[in-house]
Amino acid sequence: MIVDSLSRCKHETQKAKPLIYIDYLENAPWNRKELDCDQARITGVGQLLIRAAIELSINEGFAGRIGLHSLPQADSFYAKTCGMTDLGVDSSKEGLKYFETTPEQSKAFIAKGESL
Amino acid sequence: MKIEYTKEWCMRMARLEDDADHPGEIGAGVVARDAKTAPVEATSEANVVFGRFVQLMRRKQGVTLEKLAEEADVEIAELVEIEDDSRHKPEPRTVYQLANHFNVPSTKLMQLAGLSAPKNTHLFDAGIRFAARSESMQTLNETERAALEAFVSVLSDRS
Repeated sequence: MIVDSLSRCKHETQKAKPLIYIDYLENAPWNRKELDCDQARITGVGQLLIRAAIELSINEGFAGRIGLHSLPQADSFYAKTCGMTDLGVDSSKEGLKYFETTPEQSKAFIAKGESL
Repeated sequence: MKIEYTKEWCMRMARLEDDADHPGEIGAGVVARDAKTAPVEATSEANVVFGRFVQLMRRKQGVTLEKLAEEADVEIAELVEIEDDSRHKPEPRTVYQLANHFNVPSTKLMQLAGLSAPKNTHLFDAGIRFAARSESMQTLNETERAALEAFVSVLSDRS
């Protein structure tokens, strides 16, 4: 995962506030079920990394706000599993969809693993 | 910065991911949008090129299958399959380890191994040329001749 801390929010309610932008995120091939592995060695890697980005955002004083451009195959992961807001296709990023979390969404994401 | 995750949190989130029937793709960013994000359909087509490449790289290094398995940290049984069975579909981790060991890009080796879709036909075409040119024309040495004759005699034995 590669992040930068100089980007600004696009979400209407967070407009221009600082966030942690995830420039690059990927997991190892042997943890990806779709690559026809018999069984992924580790599951939950994506959520650990998203949590790390949120913690970094909190640490930087950005209240847990993060943003990223999702690959099409991962759109549902960021929308449903991570609960991020889909802000639509970004033509400046090869048509990838842009997702962001508000501080509330980041809290809800972390709470998901604590409240079950 | 130190991040503390509890084991319980990790386990719950991993279970959620499994329950969601998530395919495992979490890629983000333009950089991640390369060929390895486009898995290919399972195929029974033979893949001569990858096995031939591994074999020649191993022979170039002058090492046995056993030694290569040890150095690249892969299963020897799978290396045997890769070199000898052109229909064997290798494990992604094995291909990744071999790419690191041979110092070639893992994305391209994944394509060569049939684990991801190539961006264009250039690599495929080059692979076919490689397979054609690397076919051994060397005559059999004494050991190989003896082994072949012994095997032919077993095959020919009608008893």
